Amino acid sequence: MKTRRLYIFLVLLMASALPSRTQSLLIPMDEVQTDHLKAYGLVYWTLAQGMDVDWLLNYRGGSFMAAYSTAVEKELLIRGILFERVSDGTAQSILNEVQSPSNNMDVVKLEKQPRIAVYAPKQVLPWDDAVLMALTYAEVPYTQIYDKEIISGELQNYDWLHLHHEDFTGQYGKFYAQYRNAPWYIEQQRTAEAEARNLGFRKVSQLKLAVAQTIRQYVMNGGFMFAMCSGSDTFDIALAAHKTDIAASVFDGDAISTNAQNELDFDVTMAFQSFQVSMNPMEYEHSDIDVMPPPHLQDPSTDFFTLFEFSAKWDPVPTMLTQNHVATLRGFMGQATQYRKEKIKPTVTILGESPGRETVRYLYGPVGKGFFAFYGGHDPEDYRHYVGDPPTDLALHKSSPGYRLILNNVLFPAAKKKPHKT
Amino acid sequence: MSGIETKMVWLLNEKKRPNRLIGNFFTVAAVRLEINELFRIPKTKSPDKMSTRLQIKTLLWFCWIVVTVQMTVAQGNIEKYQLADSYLRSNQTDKAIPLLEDVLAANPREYAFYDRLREAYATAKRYEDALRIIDQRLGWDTSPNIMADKAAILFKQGKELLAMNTWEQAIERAPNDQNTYRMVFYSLYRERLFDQATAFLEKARTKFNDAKLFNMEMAYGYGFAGKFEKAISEYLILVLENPAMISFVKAQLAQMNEQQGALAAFTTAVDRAVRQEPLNKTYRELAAWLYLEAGDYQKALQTNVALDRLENMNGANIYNFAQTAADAGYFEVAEEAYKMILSQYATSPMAPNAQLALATMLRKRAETLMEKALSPAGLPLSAPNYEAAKQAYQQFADAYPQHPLTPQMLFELAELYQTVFFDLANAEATHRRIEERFFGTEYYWKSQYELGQLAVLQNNLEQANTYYNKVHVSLRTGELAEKAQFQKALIAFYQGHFEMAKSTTEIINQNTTTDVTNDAIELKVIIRENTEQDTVWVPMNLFAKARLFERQRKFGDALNKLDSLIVHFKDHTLIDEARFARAGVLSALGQFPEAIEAYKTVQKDYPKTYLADRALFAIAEILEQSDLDKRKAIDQYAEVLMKYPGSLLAPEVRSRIRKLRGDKISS
Repeated sequence: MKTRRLYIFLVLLMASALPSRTQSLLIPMDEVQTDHLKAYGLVYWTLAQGMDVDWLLNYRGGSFMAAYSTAVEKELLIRGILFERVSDGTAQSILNEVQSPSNNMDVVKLEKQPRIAVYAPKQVLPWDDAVLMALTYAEVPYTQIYDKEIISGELQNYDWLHLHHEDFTGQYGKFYAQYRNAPWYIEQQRTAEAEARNLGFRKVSQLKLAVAQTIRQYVMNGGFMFAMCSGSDTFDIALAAHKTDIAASVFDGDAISTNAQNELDFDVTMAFQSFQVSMNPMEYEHSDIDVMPPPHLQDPSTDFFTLFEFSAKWDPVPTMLTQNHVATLRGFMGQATQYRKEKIKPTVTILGESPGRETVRYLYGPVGKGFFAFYGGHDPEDYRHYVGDPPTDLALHKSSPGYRLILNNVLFPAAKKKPHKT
Repeated sequence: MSGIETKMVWLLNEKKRPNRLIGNFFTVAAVRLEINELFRIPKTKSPDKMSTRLQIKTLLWFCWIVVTVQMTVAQGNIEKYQLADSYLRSNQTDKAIPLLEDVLAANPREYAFYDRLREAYATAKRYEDALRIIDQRLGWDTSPNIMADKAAILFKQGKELLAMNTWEQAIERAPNDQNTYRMVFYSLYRERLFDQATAFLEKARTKFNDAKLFNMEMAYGYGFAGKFEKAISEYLILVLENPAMISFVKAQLAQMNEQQGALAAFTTAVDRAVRQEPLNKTYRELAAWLYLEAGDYQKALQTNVALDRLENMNGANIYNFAQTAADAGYFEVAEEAYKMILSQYATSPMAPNAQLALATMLRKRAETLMEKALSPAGLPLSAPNYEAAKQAYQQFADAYPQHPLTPQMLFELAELYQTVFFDLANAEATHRRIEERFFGTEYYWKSQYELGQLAVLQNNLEQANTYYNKVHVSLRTGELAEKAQFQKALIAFYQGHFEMAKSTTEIINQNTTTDVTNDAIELKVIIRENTEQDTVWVPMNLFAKARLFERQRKFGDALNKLDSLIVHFKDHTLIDEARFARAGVLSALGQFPEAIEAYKTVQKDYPKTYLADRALFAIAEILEQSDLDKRKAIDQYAEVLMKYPGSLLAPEVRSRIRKLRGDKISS
């Protein structure tokens, strides 16, 4: 009997000495990761296969962990994403570390792939959109929609909406001074006017306002909206100008309302207030919400902004939106580059700002049951992206921290809702 | 009319033109001087005449005073107007409007004041006020443009039907004046009502029975309205009237080409125009350009042929088109074009260029289609494009023996013999022709190098060495010289002079900018790692001979040497390389199952060597190229990643998997 017990003990001892069986796949998102951007696409793909993924907030740059699967492992290899096979025991100890009250980390379970819509025209315009490029590179599928689909109520079919480099004020990006004779500008105006009339609006600005109001309602009902560059500030400007006309006659055929500035309604905007609208059609600026970096800092080697650190356990939403492997990111310019702090509503949470400059690069806020996030600048890997410039090749920027911020937004709606702690 | 009366009429007329006189002190002074000048009439002593003079003088002084007073008032108005204008420019419409109202009240018939106030009202969206002053002016001003102003304001108010009626009324005010229609057109155009604007001009055409009337305006209007077929019709009229406008028209059409349906509409219309006027060069030129834009190369060829004939270009136009088509990959059309030049313009200076371009294009097409003239076993295969290219080169050689392009042509032909047909005798003969006739040229040295390559293939290593040495010593620097030096190292390797081969590769390694450096490093590593602990070098000799036989396509001999090495030197350091090379020879022989098996053994037996991932990759490559089951190839490529995630081949593997899976996204 003793011999038998000894035998069983020895077998158990030997079994415990063997390496544990691989049970989980860890995708580290710190500096060791070889392709941060594709990692987001892989997570999306995994969710689409019906598997859950844990997002380990603040753990090694916001890593992901999923149950081991040959299919996922093969896909990781094919997409060139660095991963680690971890045993059950290691996985559990990682989870214990992340969930420990002493660490500013937490686990968010991602359980369904978000349905993504990108608001963009069918017309090919001579500039690129960072979000479209990020989604395409990361291989996250999306549906392209535009005014007609939004007016006809299709937004409810999506969890996440991205606004392309759009001008919701109906001023065609205020490119009038420089590009009014360019074929793409003429075509853009003609198409927009025809679409407005088809949808029953006399002016493009009226159509765009209706679109902005519909999107706002979508967010209030629980949707998530993400906008970059001029898609962010013009959205609020259009909402604020719902009682007046801020578009000069070169844009809509009639003049600006005499008292337009005073007629702005800041109660209905999402992020900004008390701003001054630029109504000069020859000026390439929509309002004083946007501010350029000071001239001596308009240099990619000196222009930076920092991300705030939030409590992962108490503020999971801003924590998710700011997951990154760096805390300081290179700045980049756009038609809307950074937002004046004094113009931001107090209900908005600042996620990233330019230190010592009273300007904000990245923000988010709740509206009704939903959220929105605004991100200043045009292309995180092209400091000044001019009209007609070639698109950025993201294969050369696989670990772009600026692009990571965009993709954090994509995964955010996949998170399983937890009861709010604050 | 006397001189005095004339001056009086002039002065009174000037009074009516505030813009010319008012506000200019010097002008007032000038008028006064004119009056004084009038009185320099001969003095007489007649009392009647004296009295008349006095009356006239009094009258004139009175007039001068009246004019001066009026001018002062008007000057005040102008200053107000100028101030109002400044306010408007700075978007202070509310300050400008009262000033403009004042000046218009003082000068109700002055158009400039009316127009600016109307504009200011529109800017302030005071449409009712704008309509009020328009209606006031309509009371006495019958100009159609005032009625058009009214229509535009009504449109801005959203009264679209009423506005359209008012534009109609504007036409009715002067229906026989063509300018009325133009003016109404621009009024509508400003409101971006392009359909309606062109409709008015169409009416004018009917009325005046002139189908070409307002041609430019119609073209713009239709273009903006997206009526592309009508727009191109107008542009065609424009170039018919003035062929010099073709560049302008192309620029206008280019702005619309990307719009949906535009290009199709343009080509249809131009096609029709060409059929109607087949001798019109401008139409043909426009058509040729549009067909290229639309990617219809066959029609573009026909048009360019006609254009060539019409302009007596002797094939030059067709040649330029053929080059464009060949570059774009439209080989059939390019071939047709080149052959057309050769048959129809055989004596033209373009013919030799066309002959050589045809041969080059046929070769490019064969490469694109991945044609092979020989099977792995050395049996001839059907390679029609390579055959046609060979024939085209030979025709050039026969027809133009002294042409400046001949050395290039001969070199390309020799290359074809050598690399595609493995016809070494003809390749050598062709290189010899270059050697004999074009000494010292670029192609001479290239031929010398290739003669060395041929000598290797014919197993004449000493002669090959002589050629390589000649190239290397003569050129000294440059890519060709480096390549020749590396070939010398390889010959030493084949001959078993391993130390010499190694030292030569070390010299090449010093120049890291040339492409042969990597090959030189690889050769050096093989020699160093496999000769250091082997004093007899028998295995290495077997291996070197096998590599030479492989290069000479003597695959059977290569297999024998490798098998001998593998059997007799099982524990030699070269064994993994030998087995890997053996698998490669089997693959070259088309024995794919055996090759796969051989590669599998390499990976299994030497899983830690640099050959292991290459072996798995080679298996996947064979499956990809020889097997129709893509799934197997994908799985095999994936195995490279699973077993060797850090492999240098990983990026290429990922790319191939993506391609086989049909992923739209590149990795």
